Amino acid sequence: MTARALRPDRSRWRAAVLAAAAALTASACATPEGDPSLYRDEAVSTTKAAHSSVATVAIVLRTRLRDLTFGRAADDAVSTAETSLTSTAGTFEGLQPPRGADSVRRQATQLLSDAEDAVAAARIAVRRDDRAGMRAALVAVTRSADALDKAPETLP
Amino acid sequence: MKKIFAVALGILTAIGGFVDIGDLVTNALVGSRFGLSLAWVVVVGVIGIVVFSEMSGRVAAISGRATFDLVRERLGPRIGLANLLASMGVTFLTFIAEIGGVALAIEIATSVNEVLWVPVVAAALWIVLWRVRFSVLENVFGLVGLALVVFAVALWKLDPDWGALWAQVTSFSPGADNTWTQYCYYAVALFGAALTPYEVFFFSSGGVEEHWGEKDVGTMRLNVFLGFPLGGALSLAVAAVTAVVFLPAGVEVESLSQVPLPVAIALGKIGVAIALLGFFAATFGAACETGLSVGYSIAQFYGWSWGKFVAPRQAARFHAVILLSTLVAVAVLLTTVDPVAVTEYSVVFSALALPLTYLPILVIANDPDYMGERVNGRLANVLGSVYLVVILVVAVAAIPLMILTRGGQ
Repeated sequence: MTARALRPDRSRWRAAVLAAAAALTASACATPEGDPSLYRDEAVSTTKAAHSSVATVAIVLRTRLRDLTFGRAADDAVSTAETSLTSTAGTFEGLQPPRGADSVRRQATQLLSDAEDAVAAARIAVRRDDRAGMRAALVAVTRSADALDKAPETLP
Repeated sequence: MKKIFAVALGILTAIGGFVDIGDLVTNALVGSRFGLSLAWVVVVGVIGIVVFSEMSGRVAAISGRATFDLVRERLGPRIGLANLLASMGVTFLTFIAEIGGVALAIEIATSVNEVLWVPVVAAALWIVLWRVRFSVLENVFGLVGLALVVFAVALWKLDPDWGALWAQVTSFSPGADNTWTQYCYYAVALFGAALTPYEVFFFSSGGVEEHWGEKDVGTMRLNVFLGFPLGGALSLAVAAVTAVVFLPAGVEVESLSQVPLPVAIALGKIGVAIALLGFFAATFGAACETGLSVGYSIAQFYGWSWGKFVAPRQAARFHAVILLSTLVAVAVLLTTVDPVAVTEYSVVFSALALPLTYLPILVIANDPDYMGERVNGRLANVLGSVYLVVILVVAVAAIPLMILTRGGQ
């Protein structure tokens, strides 16, 4: 067999390799469908991180209401917790939920949204040194922290 | 009387100067997440830093030269360069973290974003490093750093269940909410925080700055044997208060602003004020030490004139390195990188660099050409060798654990 006779086979082989490489590249660029149980695990770890931020704000509000810490130190602690919470929530909300996980997404984002609202209210009250606002925010923050704490059991 | 005062001052500054941003953040984080189940790592780390600081202090006192001044001469330029790159890289990362830590401490007190404080802190730091005498710099920040004793007082005032705390200490396990890989990762981080390379750089170079001689070995040993363990106890107090307040509440420490909260609960505003003063002194003092250590390491490797015991004009290249390092650190921090994240990575990379820092100390402390009759005794060599094995294991495990746990998550 001559080298010339081998050429068509080689070019077919090359074309097949190129097509496979192109398909692999295209599949790597596509958004993965994902596994609903992994998505739920991500939701649980997100709510756990969010609980940490919200519980921090609850402690700050209690210490500030009892005049145990300075306004500026309380403001800084609440603002830092809020930034962390917003980042945590934003990362989760940016994830593409797999089919069959919409209810997990709905419930988790609701919990996170409630937490962000409660923490924002706390930040406003602390910065204004508004005692009544801080007491109201403490109720909302405590409720949100409890809900986030129970998320591993309550998420579908 | 003067001698007793000097010894007491040395011990107190060793205690106050022991804690830095790495110890503060890592101990607070570990306490809030693992309770006191990793307290044994702090004990192991403190014994390690005592062993190697005593060796490097003795080398400085007997030879009149800093340990790393001798590394290139004794071990050759290749090992000297490896030692320089590893140790100086980690020290520079720690320097960035310390400047960020000072800015964070001021942010807590003023509620003005830390990024705005970074250039101010850096300018103040550079002026201090350029103008202030070494003994003033060391004693003032070391003594004011003693304000961190407020964490031990807060622990006592919180009146915890001491039996439960002791049960945590002796549990040696990650608990229900963490995995063993996470436990091991934070063990490496705590070990790295206790044995940061700059501490021996600074200690041995400081000995030369203060003109230690053979007669000062006893005083140096008292500082090391009493001051460092008591400084380690301060680190444990930080971990303990976060274990008491944050662990049951499900709060994980991720910012410096959370760390004074247990003190606020126990002692109120006065406690918070003292804690913030302690944060400032500990981080500013450590920023001075790391900044000087970057200059020491490069100047000693290249054989330049170095130190604050000579006029800045006589050590121009040493001061230029410090100035350049400060400017680069500011540039890094102005990218808005989180200083706490820099701290967390610096302590892990510190663990990675430990063998290249501590092996040369052991070699030089055993060399009679430099040490005469003051070479290592049997105990120092047994402890040094055991710690080298531990350090190697920690260094090998550091990066795989970081990848496996995604930085401890």
